Amino acid sequence: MYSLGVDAGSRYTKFALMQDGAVVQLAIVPSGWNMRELTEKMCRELMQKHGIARSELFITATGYGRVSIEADAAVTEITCHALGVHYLNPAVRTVIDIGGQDSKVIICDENGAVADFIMNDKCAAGTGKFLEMMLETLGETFATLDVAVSGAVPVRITSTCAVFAESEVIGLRASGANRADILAGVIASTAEKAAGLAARVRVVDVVFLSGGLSASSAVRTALEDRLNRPVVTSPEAQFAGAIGAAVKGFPAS
Amino acid sequence: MRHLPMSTVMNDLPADFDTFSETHRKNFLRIRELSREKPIVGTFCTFVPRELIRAAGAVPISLCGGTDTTIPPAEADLPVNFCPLVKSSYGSLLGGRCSYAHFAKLIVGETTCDGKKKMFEYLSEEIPVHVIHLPQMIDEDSITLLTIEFRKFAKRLEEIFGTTITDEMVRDQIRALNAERQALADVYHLAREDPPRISGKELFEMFNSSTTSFDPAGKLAELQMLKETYASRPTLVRRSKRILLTGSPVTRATVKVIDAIESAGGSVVYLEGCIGSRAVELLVDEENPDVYDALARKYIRIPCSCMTPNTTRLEIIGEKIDEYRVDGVVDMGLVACHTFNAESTKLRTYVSGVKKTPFIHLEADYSCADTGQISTRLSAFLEML
Repeated sequence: MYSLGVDAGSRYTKFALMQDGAVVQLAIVPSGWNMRELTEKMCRELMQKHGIARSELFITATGYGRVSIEADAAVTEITCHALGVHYLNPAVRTVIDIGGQDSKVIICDENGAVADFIMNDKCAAGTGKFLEMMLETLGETFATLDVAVSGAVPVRITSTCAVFAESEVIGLRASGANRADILAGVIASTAEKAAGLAARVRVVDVVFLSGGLSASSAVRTALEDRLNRPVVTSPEAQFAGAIGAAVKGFPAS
Repeated sequence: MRHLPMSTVMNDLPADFDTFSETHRKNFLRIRELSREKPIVGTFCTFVPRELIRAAGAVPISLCGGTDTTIPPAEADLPVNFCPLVKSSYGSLLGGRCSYAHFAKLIVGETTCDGKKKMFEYLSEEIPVHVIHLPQMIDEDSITLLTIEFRKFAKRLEEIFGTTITDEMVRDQIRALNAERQALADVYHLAREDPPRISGKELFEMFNSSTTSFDPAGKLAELQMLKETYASRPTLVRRSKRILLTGSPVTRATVKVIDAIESAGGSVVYLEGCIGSRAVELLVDEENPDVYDALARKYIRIPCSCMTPNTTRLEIIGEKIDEYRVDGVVDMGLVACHTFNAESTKLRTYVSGVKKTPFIHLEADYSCADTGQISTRLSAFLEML
């Protein structure tokens, strides 16, 4: 029996196909306009490639688009991130996910079940969108971010509003501040927001960084600095939500 | 501050009455008829002793705003980052859209939250407003002050309505309102059962409609009938996670929180709120020879976050967690409702630490923009339970 987890995020849709509790394939595509169509197409391709009939597949949707796509079940991204991270690293009890339009801190138990969580989704500060906006302003891409900030000394960015922070960054650039230092400042500001959110729940042991930003070691180390504790991640961290959805689908499949 | 296009002394209609929708016009005319039979006194808070208003022969009606459509006009005078309930209330009065307020002979304010205090200052420039000074600590001196304030309020009512309020009249209303509180409690106690015999949405509708009733005897009969109907119908509500909802007042605009809980498979079994059981739980002592002292002792114990310290709220929530076998506590603060939002940390420590019950705090606005976010948070909370 197969279980497919679909994490329909605001920026990317992630897919995790699992068989008997193990990941068979992971895939990621930009979310685009029509999540429903996109998911259907991806499902068809995955079923074809692995020779799976629809009756052998249980689909669980998560993420902000979970209600707009056709699936057998819909589960929130909080539950799925905890389960997905538990699959990737069973020792972890605290998950920080910096997503496209929200960020969240999740505390989970030894089975990957959520014990407590807190979300910031009222404001862009501290989200992936904030970082993306600032990178665009500074003409940088996420893929080359780690190289760009290597050896930089973070400039302090004081605004907590994404719009005002952008003005501040433009001001810093105009005043001749070093581009790499501003970039490092943007990362520090994102990490500071996430750490502030984490302070509102009881962080346990090692922190796992999931979501798209986990690909940047500069983000991870900035978070370590702010939290004053080790932050780990995994190459599959961006798929944590999708993997968790697939894991969640197993008892039903 | 613009001039309010409303008249509280004449029973005439707003100048732009013809532009109202047919339903709105009908409602206005209905309220005009009712207000000719019994004068309306508008209130904004459960701290206002309805016993005294009724003893004066008037009808207490809650004027709290429950829609975001009246917020933009209010933002001309009040800050944008301000309690939406206050802005909505102020806007509905300012725009002359509220039929109850339009025909009200008096608006009663009280010194509960800072937002409302400032709103009453502006309103009093235009219409008769009586502000009750509510002390915010529970001790004997405060009870004495509140007793004096309630006597002053009774005197003001006597002047406006040209009547004399005797102690016996107050005592009669204490008994009548205690009976109404008991009747409300008889209905919401049905939620103690598992599965509950009444949904959170039904609880809200019951409490909400009791704040604008013109007919106390009819209300009592209606509540008794409601109880029989709910008690005898087959259990419609399935077994589900039992939620206690507390925090800022849940109004028509924030009932989306109850909807989000119940559509994610939970049941709100206890509504610890202003439109809820907050002012219903404790009865007024009918035996106390001093009726004003009896009223002061009841009202000062309403567990609003404007009180300091507000230990009554923790005690009541703790008690109800056990009594209603609550699986999780949802604490909803309105955006910019500082005292409830600040009190949340204390409540979280108590609920999750002492009562070992999962707890979530969320902020809600009057606009529907946060419906998706609220629903995600609450679905995740219910998945967690």
